[in-house]
Amino acid sequence: MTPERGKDGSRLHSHFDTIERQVHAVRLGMWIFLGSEVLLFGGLFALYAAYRREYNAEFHLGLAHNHVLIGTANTVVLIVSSFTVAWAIHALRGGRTRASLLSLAATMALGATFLALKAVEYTSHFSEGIVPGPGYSFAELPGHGARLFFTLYFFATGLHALHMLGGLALMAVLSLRIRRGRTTPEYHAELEMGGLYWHLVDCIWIFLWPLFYLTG
Amino acid sequence: MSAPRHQNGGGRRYVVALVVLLVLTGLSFGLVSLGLGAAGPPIALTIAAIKVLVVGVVFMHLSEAMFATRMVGVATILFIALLCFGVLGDVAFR
Repeated sequence: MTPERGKDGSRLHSHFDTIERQVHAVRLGMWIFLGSEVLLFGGLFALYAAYRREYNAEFHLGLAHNHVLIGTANTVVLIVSSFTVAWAIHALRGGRTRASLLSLAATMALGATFLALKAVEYTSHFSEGIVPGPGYSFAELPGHGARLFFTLYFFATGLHALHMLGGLALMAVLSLRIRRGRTTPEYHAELEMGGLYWHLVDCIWIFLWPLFYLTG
Repeated sequence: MSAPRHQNGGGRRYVVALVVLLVLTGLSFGLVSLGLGAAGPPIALTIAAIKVLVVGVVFMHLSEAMFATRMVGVATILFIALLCFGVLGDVAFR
């Protein structure tokens, strides 16, 4: 259904009385989606807790083998990117379109940096024979617990990286919409929702960092 | 039209939140580097929870959200806690 465009550039769908109600509904729907995403990762966190209790010593050794500096650098990168995306929304609200676009460009650059560092880390793991599943051949930690640790590591961080890719695509589309005048200072609900998604990806990493890098 | 109630004057709080998050990250890294033993994981996870709270309240505007929206956040946290404690309980008392 094509929304009607008002004088202020806003777009009201026919089944809403006001723009405000429409935006409230969009926000609530987005939060429910984010809740489902958290539950998806929640299953992995629960699995991690159970396996860590069963194979505590091997999980410690696996953690000690991970690249803590890369993990920490990525944490800083994502935190700063959360700030830049929040700033992009703040700037657009204030009518500063150029500042908003620059902030979104910074967000995308930081997201790409995160993925590049992750690729460096994965490459290092692969070269040592640390791969998920039956191909695992890391002689230093041959035990079942270590295999489980690294399989969980790849699954959780890989799923997170896929979310990052989705977030990057979203930011690119939002930038394009701002450039074309479709997302405006008057109506920018889609940018807010994109920002919420990006922040969620950051929140998930905030927990993955101690679980897979710090607490060895 | 889509801006929440706090839309003016939010810039400074974003900067403060960024600084707080970076300090907490440094604190988490520093404390765990000291080798706190068994206390390390709970401390690191508590700091992570505080950081997520800061992101949720400041960057995601959860504090200004509607009651129903806040409830989605609360329910999600409760479900995750139930899931983790249920699984851990099963493993611990098996």
